[in-house]
Formats: sequence, C-alpha cells, structure tokens
Amino acid sequence: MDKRAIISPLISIAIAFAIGAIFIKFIGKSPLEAYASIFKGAFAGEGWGFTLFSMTSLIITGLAVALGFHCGLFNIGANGQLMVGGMFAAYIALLFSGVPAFLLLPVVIFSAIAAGGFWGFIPGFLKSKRGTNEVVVTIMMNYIAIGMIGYLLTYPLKASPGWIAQSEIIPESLWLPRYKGMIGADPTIILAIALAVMVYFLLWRTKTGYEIRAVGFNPKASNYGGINVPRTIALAMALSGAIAGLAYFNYIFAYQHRVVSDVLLGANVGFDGITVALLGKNHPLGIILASFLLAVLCSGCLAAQFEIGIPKSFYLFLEGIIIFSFVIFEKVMGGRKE
Amino acid sequence: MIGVIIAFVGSGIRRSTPLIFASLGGVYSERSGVVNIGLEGMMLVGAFVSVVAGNVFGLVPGILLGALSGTLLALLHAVATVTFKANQIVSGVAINLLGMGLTEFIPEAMFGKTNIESLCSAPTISGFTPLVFVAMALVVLSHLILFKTVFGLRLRSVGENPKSADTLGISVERMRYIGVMISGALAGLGGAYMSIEQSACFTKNMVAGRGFIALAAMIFGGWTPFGALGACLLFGFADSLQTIIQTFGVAIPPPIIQLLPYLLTIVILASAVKRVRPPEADGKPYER
Amino acid sequence: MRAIELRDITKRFPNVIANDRVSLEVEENEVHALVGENGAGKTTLMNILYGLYQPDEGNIFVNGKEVKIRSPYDAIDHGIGMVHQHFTLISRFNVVENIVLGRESKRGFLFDHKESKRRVLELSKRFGLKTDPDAIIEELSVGEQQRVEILKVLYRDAKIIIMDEPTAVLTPQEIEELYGIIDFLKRGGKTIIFITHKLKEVMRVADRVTVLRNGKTIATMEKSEIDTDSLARMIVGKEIKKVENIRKGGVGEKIFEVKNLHALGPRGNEVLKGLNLEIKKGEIVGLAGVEGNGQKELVEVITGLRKCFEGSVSFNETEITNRTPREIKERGIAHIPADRIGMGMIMEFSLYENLIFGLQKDFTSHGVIKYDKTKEYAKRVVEEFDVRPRNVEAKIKKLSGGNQQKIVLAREMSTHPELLIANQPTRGLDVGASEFVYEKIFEARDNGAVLLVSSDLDEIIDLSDRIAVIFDGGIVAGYERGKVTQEQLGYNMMGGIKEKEVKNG
Repeated sequence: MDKRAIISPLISIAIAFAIGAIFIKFIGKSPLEAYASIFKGAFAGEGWGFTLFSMTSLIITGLAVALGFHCGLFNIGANGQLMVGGMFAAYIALLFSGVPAFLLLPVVIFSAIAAGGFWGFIPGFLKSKRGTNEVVVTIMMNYIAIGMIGYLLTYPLKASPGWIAQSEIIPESLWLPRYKGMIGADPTIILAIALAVMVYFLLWRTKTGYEIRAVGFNPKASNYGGINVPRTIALAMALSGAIAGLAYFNYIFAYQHRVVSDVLLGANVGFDGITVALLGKNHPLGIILASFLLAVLCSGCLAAQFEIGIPKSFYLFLEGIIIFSFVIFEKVMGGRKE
Repeated sequence: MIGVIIAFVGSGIRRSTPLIFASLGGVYSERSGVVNIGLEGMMLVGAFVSVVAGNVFGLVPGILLGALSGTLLALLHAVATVTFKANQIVSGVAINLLGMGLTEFIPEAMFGKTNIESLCSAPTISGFTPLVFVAMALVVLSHLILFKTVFGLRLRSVGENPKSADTLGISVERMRYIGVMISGALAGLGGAYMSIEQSACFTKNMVAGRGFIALAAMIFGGWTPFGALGACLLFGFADSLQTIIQTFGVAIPPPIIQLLPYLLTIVILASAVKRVRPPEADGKPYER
Repeated sequence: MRAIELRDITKRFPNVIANDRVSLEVEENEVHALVGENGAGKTTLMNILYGLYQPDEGNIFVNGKEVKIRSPYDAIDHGIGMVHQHFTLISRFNVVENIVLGRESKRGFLFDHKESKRRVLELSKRFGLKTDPDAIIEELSVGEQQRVEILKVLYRDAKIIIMDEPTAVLTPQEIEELYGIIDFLKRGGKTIIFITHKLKEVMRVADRVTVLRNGKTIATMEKSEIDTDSLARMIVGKEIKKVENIRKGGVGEKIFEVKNLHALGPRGNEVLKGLNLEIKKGEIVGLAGVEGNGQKELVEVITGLRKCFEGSVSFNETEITNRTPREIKERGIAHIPADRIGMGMIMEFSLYENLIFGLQKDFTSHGVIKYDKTKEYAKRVVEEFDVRPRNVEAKIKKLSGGNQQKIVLAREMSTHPELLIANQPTRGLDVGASEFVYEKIFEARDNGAVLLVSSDLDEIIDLSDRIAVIFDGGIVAGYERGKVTQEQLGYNMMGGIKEKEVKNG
C-alpha cells in the first residue's frame, strides 16, 4: 500500500479539524481545549473501552459497505440491516433462552447474519432483476426497518412491565464480558477483525470474490466471460447486508443485554461505514485503520461533551468535512500523479 | 363526514408541500446530470436557519435565508462533484452528515437545546400558509422553465449528453452548478416550510427522511415537475392517512403506518422502472 | 482561392508522432479526399483544423489568412464545421432541438420552436437533406442521424465541411444517398474534406486526393491522375507479406450449424432474418460483409450474449440455442471479441486474473482460487505468446494495446477450443502481431474449426477455406477458397446479384 493511502485520511482529518475549529470558536469555546478533550476522552481511563467498542461497529459496517462497492453497489442501507440483524438475533436468543450458551451463541450470531443478509438481498434482488437503483431502495429499507422494529418493540416484544420500548432482557448465559468500563471493549472486536480477514480472503482468494470484483469493474465483460451478473449482484448485496447485520451485536449482547428502541433505531453507524470504506479504500486493512481513526473521534466527542460541553453531534459535522476533504484531496493528488 | 374529508385533503396537501419543494429541487439537479441525495441535509439546514433567522429578522427574511443556506450547502456538493468530479452519492451522504451535524451541534452548543421555537407566524388562507401556494406556483413555473425556455433546453442537454452540449458552446460546468444550487434553494425552502409554517419550531432531525422520499417522488414522477407534484401528493396523502385512521379508530399501530410511504416507494420503483428513464448522463461526472 | 491550407503541421503524442510536417491544400468548392490507413494521422489532422487539438508546430490558413484555432468555437467562427464519425447528438431531443442548440431562436426567455423549425426546414430543402424536424433522434436510422449532423454544421454557416469516415456506419443505400448530398452541398458552394480509407469512395466523390501514411503527406493528386491500384500502393507503402496457409489436416464433418436464425438488434428491429450457416471440422469459415449487416449480432447469438426468437444453433449435435455464455464456453466454443478492450478484459485486473477470466472454474478448488496453478499457467502463456512486459502481476491496463489483445487471444486459445470465433482479430494490431494471430488461427483450425469475422477482405480471402457473405441478416453467397475475386465478394456484400434492387436495410 503506497504512502499516499495513509496520508490522505490524515490530511483530511487535519483539514476537518481546522474547519471545525472555526465553528468551535463561533460557539464560544476554545478549539485547542476542545480537541485536547477529544483525544483525552478517546484514550484516557475508560475512554479506551468505548473507542474499541465503537471501532467494532465501524469495522463491521465499513466491511459491509466496501463489499458492496467492490461489486459497484452502493449499500446505504447498513443501518436498516444492522437493525433487523440485531432484532432478530435478540428474538432468537429470547425464544430459545433455555438452550445452553455454547449452542445458542453461534445460532444467535447466525440469526443476525441471516436477517441482515435478507435485508440486503431485497434491494440486491430488485437491482439484479429490474435494475432498480439500490441507493433509493436501501434508504427506504432503513425506514421500513425502523417502522417494523419500532412496532415490535412497542407491542408484541415489549418487556412486560413498564412503558419503555425495549425488549426483555436477554438470557445471562449470552451476556458477553466487558472490559474497561460501562461501555467497554468486548469480544466482538475480535469478531470484527476476524470478519475483516474473512472478507479479505473472500474477495481476493475465492472464485466468488473474483466474480464480485469483475462485475464491479465491468459488468459487460463479466457477462461475456460467463459470469452470471444478476446472481452476483444479488449475492454481493446479500453478503453486504449479512455482515452489516452484526454491527450492533455488541450493543445488544455486551452492553445493554436487551434491545432498546431508542438505541437501536437511532443507529447512524451505517453512514459511518461509508466514510470508513471510503477512507480505507475498500480494503479490509484500510478499513480497520480508518475505523480506528473514526472511533477515536466518535468516542472522543462523546467524552468531550461531558467535559467541555461540545455536543457529540460535532462528530457528524467533522465526518462530513472529512469526506469532502478526502474526496477533493484525492482528486487533486490524483491529478498530479504522472 | 365532509369535514373529515376536507381535513384529510388539507392535511394531505400540507404534508406534500415540503416534498414538492425538495422533489422539484431534485428534478433541476438531476436534469442537469447531477444526482443529489443530499436533499435531506439541505432541508435540515433550511429548516434550522429559517427559524433562527426568522426569529431575529422576521418571517420573510427568515425564509429567504433558509433557502440561501440550502443553496450554500448545495454549492459544496457542486464543487465536489462538478469541479472535482467526486462520486455524487458519496458527496450526497457527506452533505447529509454535515446537515445533521450542523443542525444538532450548533443549537445545542449555542442555546443548550435542540428545539427552537419559531416566533414568526405565517398568515393562512383557508388553512394554507403562503409557501404552499408558492410550491404549486413553482411547479408550473418549473415546467415552463425546463421545457419552454432556452435555459431549460440547455440545462437538459447537459444532463442528456454533456459532450454534445460542450461542442456546441454550452458550459457544462456552469449549467450543473446552477442546477445543483437551485436544488439547494428549493430544498432549503422545503425545510423552511416545515419549521416555520408547518410546526412553528425546529427540532433535531425533523426532516425524518422526507428528503429521500422526495427523491423517490422525483423518480416516480419521471423527472418532471408535474410528475413530481403528483407523486408528492400521493405520498402526502398516504402520510395523512394516519389521521383518518386514528379518527376512525382503526387499530393499525403508528409505526406501521409510518413505514407505508417507504414501502410504497419501493413497490412503485420496482414496477415503474421500465417506464421512466433518468436523464442519460445523470450521475456521471463529465470530463473533456 | 484556397479555402484551407495547412502548412507543416506537426503533432506529437507520448508514443507517436501523429502528424509529421503534414501539409494540405484544399481549393474552394472542391471535394477533397484525405486517405490513409488507420493510424495514418488523418483524424488527428482534422481535429487540429477543428480546434480539438493544438498543433505543436505549423500554421493554418483559412481563405488565405493565417488563423489560430483554439477550440471548435473558433473553427465554427471561421466557417469550418465537422461531422464526426461518432455522432454527438442528444438521443432524446428532437431534430430541431439538436440542430439549433446553442444558437436557438428566442422570444425573450422562451425557446421559439416555430421559428427554429422554419429555419431548419428551409435549410434542409436548400441542401436536399430530407428530415422530419419533430422526430426524436433515437428513433432515426443512422443515415438520418447523419443528415441531422450535417444540418447542424450547415446551420452554423459552415462553408468548409469536414466529414470523418462518414460511410463507416451507413448501409449501401444510405451511402448512395450521402453521395447525392455531397453533390448538392458542392453545388451550394460548400467545400468538403472527406476522410476515408476506402478506395472506392475516393474514386466516386473526390476531385482531388491527399494521401497520408505514418503521419506524413505522401502525395496530392487530381482524380484524373490516379486509379485504385496506385492509390492502394501509396497508402500501404510496401508489400504485405503473403500469409502461408498450409493445411495440416483434411476437412471433416459438420460440427456447427445455424438454422433459420431470427434475432432483433439493439434498436429493436430484426437484424438476423433467417440466417443459415454450417461449419465443418478442420475449416476456417470467413464471414465477409459490410459492418452493420448482422455479423455482430450473429456472433452475439452464437456466444450467448443475445437471444434469438426463432431458429437454432447447434454444436456437435447438441442444441445450444439461447444458452448462457458460460454454458457455451464450457462446450468448447471460444470467442475473441471485436471489442477486446471494453468486453474482453477487465482493465483493473492483473494479467493472470485476466488470463483465467471465463476459466476461473478450472483454477478453483472448493471455491478457493489456486494461485500457484494460476501463476504457473500465466507465466507459461505469457512466454508462449511473447507478451511484454512479462510480469503477470501487473495490471493489464499498463500494457500496450497490442499486448493486451495478445492476452485475450492467449486466453481463448489456451482452452484448445473446438470452435474458435475470431471477431476482427487483427483490428488495431501492427503487421507483426497480425502475423502471429494468423499462425494461431491456423493452429486453432488444426484443433477444430474457426469462424472468422472480419471487415478486412484481404484477411478473409487469405485465411478462409470457405467464404460466406452476410448481407442484410442472411447469408447471400458462399465460395470455396481461391474461387472468388474481391470484386465478386464486394458485389455480394452490397447485396447485388446483377440487376437486383438493393433492399433497404
């Protein structure tokens, strides 16, 4: 991987910080204090824990989006896919709560993957069969997921006493251990890294991955080359959704031990996945690194909110600027090459 | 009974209005060849800025500044996609992130909360505020502009075949900038309508996906102003079905009703795709 | 007076000198043909005249005055118009809109459609260019579209009209109509520069001819001074090595048959109208025909890239009609596509990834790609076909066009196909590479059979054991090797058998 691949994201972040500083001054705070607080928050004490925790979801959605990109597809629906993945996994966990953990856990993980995969398959299928633009469909699927799960958590699956839209508590046998604090690091980070390795292997070492990439580069030639293009597109979207289905596994099984409507349905990490895939150049290693950078910002901003009162939504703002800086910087640099 | 129907129609039209603005915006942008999924973010900033500016300067300046804020955000999209030829979807996503971030972060940091009440009140004529009429007028005006004027012809040529337009002396870049900025202004107006005239306040994330529904309406409407109007009315009325259903006490839970417009969109897109086609060069950056 | 003079124009590109001190003189109101092979520099020269490129050296004179042409708008200002080989029309707009775009008649802000239409009709009548002003471009035939392109040029008061290979995309009848239009334009006082590589056209329309070869001007002559033979010699410049066609085995039984094939083309009209064709083992069947008579679609149907709605395709006694490309490949039919760059390879993939393209199943076990096997095979093939550079990990987009094509060729031949379909196999290749391709085609014949589709008549005549002529979606004539002349073939390709009317395509 050439040097440029590492420099671009860093420069983009630097630019974003610079522009962000203007806005911080505008609301009457000190940029230096703010950024110091962000970095401290990401690492100091319990901060590490949340950084790793966020990193997990970012890696997962980043991988999902990147897989789609490799096939020329824009999966903007990672939010919806993680929602149905998480919800279905929790449902299975509650349904079979008697089953011992060593059997149930794999089943539950598989349920998340299956549900997310199904949610991704639908736009993939529509695209492959009818050429329907997956951007709009995946976005719509996000809102359908919100509606569906919102309903489930307010009526049939709601925890019996109380008014909060949330599910029952998941059996303790499935509670994943946590380190470093309230929302700390948990084993799902290992799952995320394992997924990254698997995605790498899939894309560059298997026939399926070869075909996915071929279709992404040139569907016409792929057809000539005997690849079943519609099937590959549907498969790629389904795989993308399947991966995304795991993105909130840690929230549900390691942190809250239940599905909480406000938390699950407020997930925004699907968009962050786009950022991560972009910065990481759709390569698993790049995605891990980009996820780390973004996780630092995310958890740092959350901590900074308590410390010096910069709202955590500043993170979204930074993210937007990072994307623009990155994209423009890349084009400018690309023009200078040769 | 008549009263219910009138209320239903009125409510439907009011709910379509933000969609109409944004959808029209989408038409201008895509007709010039630039996909704009950042309508959502542009509506949000329009909603926010118009309330704040309205409280300080008054109703009309507030609305105009709301439109301007949308235009500025759109300018960023244009710079990224037209001048730097960045991927239009990615840029749109970034616009949405910016919009969401800005409209949450600034109010919370400056005012300590994320809802801002609007101190302006707009006059109503038979239950409709002025922007509703503006929206309808804009639909007719847009049809005229796009299909009967020289400007419209050139704008569309740039979205169909930029190479041809270029060889005939039309500036592809300029036309696309104009198309995108108009879409920002209109989306901003849509947001302004929502915050000032519809709910008299701004709350975080109040646009709630309408920017995306507007996109779907644009596609369903065949990228034409009247088509978009029809589709937006359809969605608006579907939305207002909620009230009717509650009035009649039918027990469909609110979250399910809320997801109907999105489901409807998918169904329509999946079936209508064979009939309508986007502008030929939609989504592709142009390089000499 | 001289309408155009180009003096000592030189234009360099990274790999080649496209124009090397080229000079051209075009008299007013003449039809001047600019001829040469592909790559001779004709289009580059005209692009310079039209302002799309800037010359590195040299001067341009229009009507005796020196001018600088920095862009097409400058060219248009000087009265120069160009009808490109690839049309720049807006498919969904109508004729009037396309013609007047950029110079519309207005009433305030409004587009004055009525006035524009009137002016277009007037122009079309004046120059004999029949056209329906309200028709949408994508519904027009290629010939009709070309007329719109010409009207576009005339609408901007062009006095000098450059036509770049205008007949490349026309049917025989449309070509005749174009000749008529050129006569009309000439009578209307226009000057025409006509780029072509077809000798017959030169003899038919030109007043004077300039020959370019390898970027240099070779000669300029009056039409009365030339004939096709001397012209051909000037264009090519040397003797082409005769191809050694030594047959190793005899001709066997029929292995491939197409019966009564009917299929629709990309515009929805019928392009294959009951086509019949047979290929026997051990023979090379050459398909001769003017581009646009169905050969592209025939190859697409045979290889599974297009559906036919009637008729059958069978190979080795099995029906393969409307099967998928993968199934057809697996049965032993290999396809070297005409568009190697766009369709035959994946630019972003490496050499070895391209070499297994279409064959990936053979290099996979349990879903995983066997890299040692792949790289070994790739290295072997790259040696055998002399691909440079030899690095199999390099991305194919880094290779030269000729080497890229070798990869496609190598891949298709490495499967030892029973039937090789070679579509324009030497297009874009230099003489050395072409010879190599011919050797490989003979090899393929020894292993099975070859269907050769080519617009290069010499190639067809030299290589084929049997020649079939395709015209208007059907096979209209067939000849054994050595039993037919170029003239006879050309005649058949135009659909002519003595006095029979040329059917409208």
